Amino acid sequence: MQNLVIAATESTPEVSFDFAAGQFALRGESWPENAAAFYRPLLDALENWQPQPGGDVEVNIALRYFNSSSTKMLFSLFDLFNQRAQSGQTVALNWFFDAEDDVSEEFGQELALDFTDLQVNLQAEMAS
Amino acid sequence: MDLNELFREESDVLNRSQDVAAQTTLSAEDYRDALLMVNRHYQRLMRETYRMISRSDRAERELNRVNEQLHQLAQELEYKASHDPLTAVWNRGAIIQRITQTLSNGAAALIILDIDHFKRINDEFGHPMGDKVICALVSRIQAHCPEEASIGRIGGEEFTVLLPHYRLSDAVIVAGAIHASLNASPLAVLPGQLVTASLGVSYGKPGSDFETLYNNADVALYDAKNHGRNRVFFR
Repeated sequence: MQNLVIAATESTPEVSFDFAAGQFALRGESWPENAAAFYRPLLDALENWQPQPGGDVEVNIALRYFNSSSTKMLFSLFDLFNQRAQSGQTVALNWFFDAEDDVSEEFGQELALDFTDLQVNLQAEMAS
Repeated sequence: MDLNELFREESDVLNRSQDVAAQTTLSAEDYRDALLMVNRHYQRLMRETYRMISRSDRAERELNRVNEQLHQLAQELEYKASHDPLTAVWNRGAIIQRITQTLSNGAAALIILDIDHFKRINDEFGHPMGDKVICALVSRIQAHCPEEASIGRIGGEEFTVLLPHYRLSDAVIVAGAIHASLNASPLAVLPGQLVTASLGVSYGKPGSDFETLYNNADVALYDAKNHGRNRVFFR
């Protein structure tokens, strides 16, 4: 399956989906004019992905800021990964947050509660 | 905020549909009604969620815009609080702070420069010309200062040049260059006459205080004035 790579813009994150390696990443900010239009192709690609059995998956999310509609779409994204985990793959979700951003840290903690099959790791980063 | 309290209607619908699903003997009509009820509430939930998301997106955008503005204003304020509005060099408070901080880390030399007979320029050509002369003179000072120098305006026509880690002899050379430049050619804004200055130079050891450094330079400046102005003295 072809990799999905999208460069960051002011309002959308950098996307890096390497299906062969099982490496997925979102980095930057997410407040697109139309969050559904931005995230739909990502969700479609993930849904169509047929991984080799037993391959581990690592998801790195480092979003400094994401708006409410992006949050809705991220939930859908994490749900797809959670389904992968339910069907036997090991899926680690690394949630990177600014050490001074309590809201983001809390969001990561709640992800662990809502998506119980993901191995959610919270990673505090020093503000740059 | 409690989930069940906030979603009481939704919880009711859930409970009722669970009750219906648990029964095996109801009529097809009853199951259909129950399904439609859930469907109706699900539609409503989607609609309301959509409204809430749109609303928060808008509010967040506005918040970010205002936050950016605030950040910019804070920067402007910080600049204005530390710079002289006419010449854009450090103001009195900021240069004193820089001198104090520099001395706490190491040695420093200080030049105080006072424009000779500045009052005459103001009286003869007016205050707007006086302002122009001050700006042109600051440009001259800047042109003869090393990169690491900090220039401050501490009074109407009085300026300081802080030279971190400079020895007295090297600071005197800088002061001499400024002095020589003012005598070599008039400022472009006042081509008919030379604008000269008196300069006092002092040296402060690491850990010494602002007052001593400043007073020494001030005494040297006073000596320069008393010896006929337009010269460099050091102490």
